[in-house]
Formats: sequence, structure tokens, C-alpha cells
Amino acid sequence: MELTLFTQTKPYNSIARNMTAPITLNGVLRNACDILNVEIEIEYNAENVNKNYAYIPDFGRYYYFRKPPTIEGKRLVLHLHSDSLYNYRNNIYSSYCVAERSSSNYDLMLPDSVVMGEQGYNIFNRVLPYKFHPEQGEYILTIAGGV
Amino acid sequence: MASAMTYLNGGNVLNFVKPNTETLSYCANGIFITDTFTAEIGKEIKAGATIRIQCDSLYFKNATFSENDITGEPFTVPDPTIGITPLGQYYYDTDDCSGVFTLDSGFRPASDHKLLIAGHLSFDSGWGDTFSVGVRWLFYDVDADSITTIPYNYDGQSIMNRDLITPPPYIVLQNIYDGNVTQYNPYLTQFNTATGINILNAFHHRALLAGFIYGTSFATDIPIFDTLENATNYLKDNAVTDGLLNGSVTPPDPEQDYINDQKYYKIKNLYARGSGSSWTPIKSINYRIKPIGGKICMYYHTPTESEPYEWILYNYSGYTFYSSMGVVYDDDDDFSVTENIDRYYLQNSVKLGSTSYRVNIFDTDIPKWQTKEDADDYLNDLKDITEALNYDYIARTNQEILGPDIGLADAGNDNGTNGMVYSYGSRMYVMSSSHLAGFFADVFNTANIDDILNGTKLFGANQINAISGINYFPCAISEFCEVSSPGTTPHVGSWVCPTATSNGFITKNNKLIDCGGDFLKPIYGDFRDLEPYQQLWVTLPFCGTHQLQMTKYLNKFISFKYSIDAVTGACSCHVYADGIELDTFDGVCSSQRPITAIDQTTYLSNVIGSVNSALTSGVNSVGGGAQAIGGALSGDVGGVVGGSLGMLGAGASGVIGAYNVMQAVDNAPMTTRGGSSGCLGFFGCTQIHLHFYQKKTVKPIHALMLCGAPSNVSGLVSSFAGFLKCSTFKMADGFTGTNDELNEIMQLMKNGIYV
Repeated sequence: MELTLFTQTKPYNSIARNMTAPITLNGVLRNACDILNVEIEIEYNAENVNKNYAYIPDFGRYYYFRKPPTIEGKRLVLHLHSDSLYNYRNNIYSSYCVAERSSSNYDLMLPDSVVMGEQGYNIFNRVLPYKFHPEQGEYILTIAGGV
Repeated sequence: MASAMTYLNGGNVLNFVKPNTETLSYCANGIFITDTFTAEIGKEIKAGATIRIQCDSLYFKNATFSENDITGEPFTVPDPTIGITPLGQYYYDTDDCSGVFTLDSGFRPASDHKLLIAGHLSFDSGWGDTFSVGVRWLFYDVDADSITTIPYNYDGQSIMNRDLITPPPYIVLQNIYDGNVTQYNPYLTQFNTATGINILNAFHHRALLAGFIYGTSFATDIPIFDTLENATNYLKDNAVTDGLLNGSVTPPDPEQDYINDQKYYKIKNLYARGSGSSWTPIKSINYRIKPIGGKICMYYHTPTESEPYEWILYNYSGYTFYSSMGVVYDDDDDFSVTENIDRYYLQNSVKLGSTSYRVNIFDTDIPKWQTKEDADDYLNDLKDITEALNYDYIARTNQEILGPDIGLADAGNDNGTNGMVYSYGSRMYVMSSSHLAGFFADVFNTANIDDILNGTKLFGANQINAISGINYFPCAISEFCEVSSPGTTPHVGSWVCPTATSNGFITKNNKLIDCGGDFLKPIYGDFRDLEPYQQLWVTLPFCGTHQLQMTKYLNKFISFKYSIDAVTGACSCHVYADGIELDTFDGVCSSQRPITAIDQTTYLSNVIGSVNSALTSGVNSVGGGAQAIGGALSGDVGGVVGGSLGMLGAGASGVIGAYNVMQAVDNAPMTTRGGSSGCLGFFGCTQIHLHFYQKKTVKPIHALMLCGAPSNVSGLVSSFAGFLKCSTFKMADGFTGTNDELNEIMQLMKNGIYV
């Protein structure tokens, strides 16, 4: 079975992938497995052992390594898990969602639990220009019968 | 390799990674250009498309991109305002030369042209200014049917300087340079348009030679076109928008483009005066001003300390700032041009009988500033219009902020007025201390006793009851009353005071004291600007300290007016948001001087009695004022309150005794009104204070990048960028994976991913 190994540097909770240094080689499926969780034997060498991403054309899926490869003699056993985010990225992009949090489309007036309150307040004051002048006020003398 | 005709869908992401930098010297600052690119492209670039840039430098050209260049890593968000501008807004971050922008409006690279983004240098010229590069203005002369570029100034540069900036909504760009910019001195550059040129609507980009790397952001709602031909076509016919790079063109608003497609500012019902001259009603209603050239604004101005604050119009033309305006006033299509005259403005908004009173709070879309320095900064492009005192009104005028469209617009409160006339029978004289002393010197002159008693026979044994009250107010009486001409001789009953004269007497108690206001801008621009994170309190002279609801006043001009009852001293402070009264607080602002002889026991009895009277029915005679007093007395300080007539009447016993008490009062002032009002109020604040209590908060600086911000926005996943955590996610039809994969995706979407 043909597969291509990559060095992939992007985190798996990101849709995009950065795949470099591809190597195409043949491997053998090991034991019974499903196509989402594949164990496959390939030839051991120093280059192969440092890969962390794979593509299997027969399954039409990209896989990440769910755990480090195990070395059995001159064979390298890869423990692969289907990379659902990347395999179905186009479906995901064209799907609708309601965002609970977003880096791009957000409403700053919604309370954000990430913002934490400290003790105390900052206090600012402003003074408006009009001023009463009790030190130089005026009297009103009210007199009954005044003319 | 896709051709330059390929288009990017709104749902796709186009990434540029480590481009070729060899053409550094041939490309404009902040501009990146693609001749070819590949991605999952193939369609038009629409609103919502996200473009990420990651490179060693933003100086590159003819870069080639392949799928391997696509990256989706968490990006640095250069500015939290991404994606919320009305039209296109573009960013990059010089710190790590990576950035992301989401297009609010789509654009379309032409086949023979390069995709151009950016063009604003944040460059300190040494003159404290910034300027932009990368765009070039074109002007279409409608009459001549020709396109011209801006003329060159003395140093050979084509300059689009601030004085060409048209009023909102086009007030976006500043200091646009074109050509080989080698000298940056925005203060020494100017340029004037030829007569009849339509400068509104187009400019054309051109890459520049420049040797600076600076952070940049750039946004404009001025249409940008890819080619001169398309810009020309647009200028000739606004319906033709081929090659438009930055969004749609909004048809002109006939209301705003009032005459000859020129923008007018709106001011209603203004009075104006020249320097030192009297006030003149300029226009009656719906007053419009069109600046002949340059930016226009107003700032808060007081000619002398004794005069009220008023507004002065201010603009900039070429080298000089002018307070003498070159403006065109228009009311009924009949233009009259006034130039070289200092003009100050107030609004004629309060009319009492035949008298109009001018106030300095009015709506206009001319930017208002607190000080001349602020106005200078604004005209110098050092302050943004969003900082103007009346930005909320400006924004609403330009429909940048959409408010509820219910019923008719509220132009502000029209406060009622008091038409009661104070005339014969109960005269209220305005007196200074010396006048008052002179009056009582006459009253208590034993030589006048017989005349006084004879003149006050109507009052029986309590002739002193003819003197109903002496109230001391902390301001000029004329500020809240109409006062007759000074010089009237006081009468007590029918007795004429032989020597004393007064300053005049009150004819009407009918004015509001305008205490001014302030525009309450958001501090954070997020939920922390409102309760409970931020609280607004006001300390009102004589009316106490109260909390206001921040929601009602944020982004509005909060203003205050006092109404004062001349009889009781009850006062109400009216609080307005953009001219609409939303709160009222009551108190008492005068202090009453007793004039009769009262022993301590009787005095205290009167105190208690007066308080009870005020709190129940004793002050009902003053209508609303009674409530004011009652409210003021509900505080923690007790005191003496009561109708002045009641207090004086209860304790009257003799002229000589009254004199003694009065002397004692003069030596040790005491209040005859209660609590924090009256005399005690004089020791409190004499100006209105706004107190802002902001809860101290901690917001991680990388929070937006790492975990986003609360959203509740729905849309295609492709319309989001960066971190996305979904509360609801529905996989689109066409999903061919297994149920396990779907569940896994659903779980990931709800836990948060980076798009």
C-alpha cells in the first residue's frame, strides 16, 4: 500500500496544515484495522522515523500520528488516526455555525469570561465648567406690599 | 499555476508565505503584489475572504505561491478592529511580518493588474504627523469632461493633503503622497483644487519608491480602482464600477449632497455673532454650512470669564488655521458668503415670552472639540473625528451607527417655562450685602419706627411680617430670573425705605442655568464600559451625589441644567443625553436669613416644625419645589426647612430683637434650610463632578488570538478567521465521512479550532 509521509508543523486543532518534505513509500497494513485508525508497517530508517503526518491514497485521507512509531527490528509501525479537520476542511468551511468565541467576528459588548476582575476600582473625575459662587451670591428680599 | 484572473471565494483563505523579497526597492511600502498565486481559488474575492500574510518583509513583487505555502497557523492579530470597519481594512504587523485581514467588502484583481493592498505609513515625519503613500487622486472635471491629476507643489511631489479632504463620509484619508517621496513635510504642503472639479470619488494607486518599513493600516471608503481607465469611467458615470478594489459605492444621499453634490454640515437654529458684536439669528431652522475648503470643526470657547461658553467655528486652509471662517451659509438656496469674521455660535433654543435665551448645546455634524488645542489637533489630523465631542451625532448623521428608527427623531427636550409674574403685593428685591445692610439700617432706625408701623398697619401687631424673607443664593439672581433695572426703592407695606436702593426686583422666575456638559466616550470599547464594570456618578451642587446609568449616557453628550425656585430656593438639576432629559435630581440651593428675634427654644421648635412642614404639606405651595425640598431632606442631615413665610411668621416678635438675631447670624452663618442644602450646601461642591468608577480588570493581551472573544455570530465557518469555538455547528450537505469522523469534527468545533 502506497503512502506519503510528511513533516507537518501545524497544530491539529487548526484546519490548515503545513506539510513539507514528502516521502512516498510502500507499507503493509498490520492486523485488522478500520480506515480511521490505521496501523501500518514501513521500512525503518532515520528519515521515516521523524515524520509525523501521512497520506494514504487508497483511503483518500490524511492521518496524523496518534502516538510515536514503534520500532520492531527493521520495521517501523505507524499508528495513524484520520485527520478529520483537514480531510473535510472544505465541508467544514462551507458549513454554518454559531460562534461562541471568535478571533475575527466578535461582539465586544458581550461579557467575556476571559477578562477577570481585580479588587478595587480606578476612579476618574471630570469637572464641568459652570460654577456656583456661594462666596459672592446675591440676596432676594421678599416684602409684602412692595411696589 | 493559476492565472491572475483567478478569484478567491469569500469562503476561502489565501495565504502568502515567505515571498520573494528581491524587489524590495521597486515596490511601495506596505504593498504586496501577486502576479500569480495558487490556492483553492477560482472565484471572485468576496466579502468575508480572509487573507493571511506571513513574510520576512512586505516588500515583494512577482512572488509565486503554491499550495505548500498555505498556512493556517494561529496568526498575530495586529489590531482588534479587524473585520468591523464599514468597508475594506487591511493590516500587517511589522513585528513578525505576519498578519491577517478579513475583507468586509470584496474586490477583484484585474487581469492586467496587480492586487494591491495597504499603503498607509505610520511614519513620524518629525513634524508630529503621519502620512500615507501608495494612492493617487484623480479628479474629474464634469464640464470639461476630462480627468486631471492633482497639481504638483513646490517640491515636485503630487500631494493629496488634508485640505482636500471632503467632509464625512469621505473623511478618511490623510496626507496622500504620490511619486518619489523624498521629502516629508506635511505642514508645508498645500494644494488647491481648480474651480468646478469634482474631487469626491476616485483615486488611483501607484507603487512608490520609498525606503521605510513601518507598521501600517489603511482603510478608506473612497473608491479605489485598479486602472486609470476604470477610475475615469467611474468618475464619468458613478454606475460604472468596474475595477473597483475596495467595495461598493453607495449612491449619493440627496439630503447630504445638498447642492451641486457638495456636502453640507447641519446646524439647526443658530445664533451667531462676530467678535464683540451682538447676537444675530443667522438662520431659523435647518441651517447648513458648507466649508469652502478644508476641514471644519468647532471648539468650546469663552471670550471672557464673565461670558458664557460658546462655540467658535474653526477651519484650516493651506498654511494657516483660521477662526475667521470661509463658509457659505444657506437657508433657502440663497447663498450669502461671510469671510474673515470671527463667529461664535450658540443656539436659540429657549424662548420665554418675547425673549430668547441662547444655549451652547446643539446638534451639528461639525466636529466639536473641548479646546482650541483639540481643534488644532483635529485639523492637523492628529486627532480622529471619532474623538469629537459630538461624534455620536456625526456617526448617526452619516449612518455609521444605526439607531432605532421609531417615530420621529427626538431633537431634544423643550423644557417648559414659568410664566408667573411677580408684581405688586409681593415684591422680590435683588440685593447685595451692602444693599441689604442699608435697607435694614433704615428699617431699624428708631427714627423711622412710627412711619414703619404706620405703613404696615395691615399686618396688625406683627408688622415685621411684611418682610417675608431673605434668601441668599449662590449665583447671580439674573441667571435664573428676569430682573428689572436696578435702582428701585424698596417698600415695606406702604412705607418707602428712605435711603436704601436695591439692585432691582424679580419680574419672572423663568430661566434655566446651563452648566455645560461632556461627551462620554467609551474607555475600553467593550462590555467593561458599562455597569457593573464601570459606574458613573455625579456630584451635583446642592442636589447630592447620584449614580447615573452608564448605558443612557455612554457615547452621548451629557449635559446639565439647573432650575431654581426664587421663593423657596428649591432647585432641580436636569440631566440630558444628547439634549434629551433622562434624569432629574432635586435639592435646595438657597440659605434663608432669619430676621426676627427667636429664643433658642422657639427656634428649635420652629426647626422641627419646619422640617415636618416641608416633608408633609408645608411646602406644597411651591408645587414641584416642595418635592425638591422633601427629597433633599431625606438625606442624613437634619435641619431647618420651611416656607420662608412660615418660618418668619412663627417667630416674629419685635424689631429690635430681630436686629440682634440678624447680627448673630452674620457673625456665625447658619442655615435655615435643611441638611446638605442651604448654607451647608455652600460648603459642598460648587461645580458638577462626574465620577467614573472603573472596575480593575485583567485581559490577557493575546486573548483575542488564542481564544477569541465572545461572538454569538452565525455564518459560514469560512467567514471566520483565527480561533473559532462554536456553540452550534451543522455540517454541510455532501459530507462523505463516517459518523465517527462527524462526531469528532463536532467535538473539535465545540472545543475550538483555528480556522
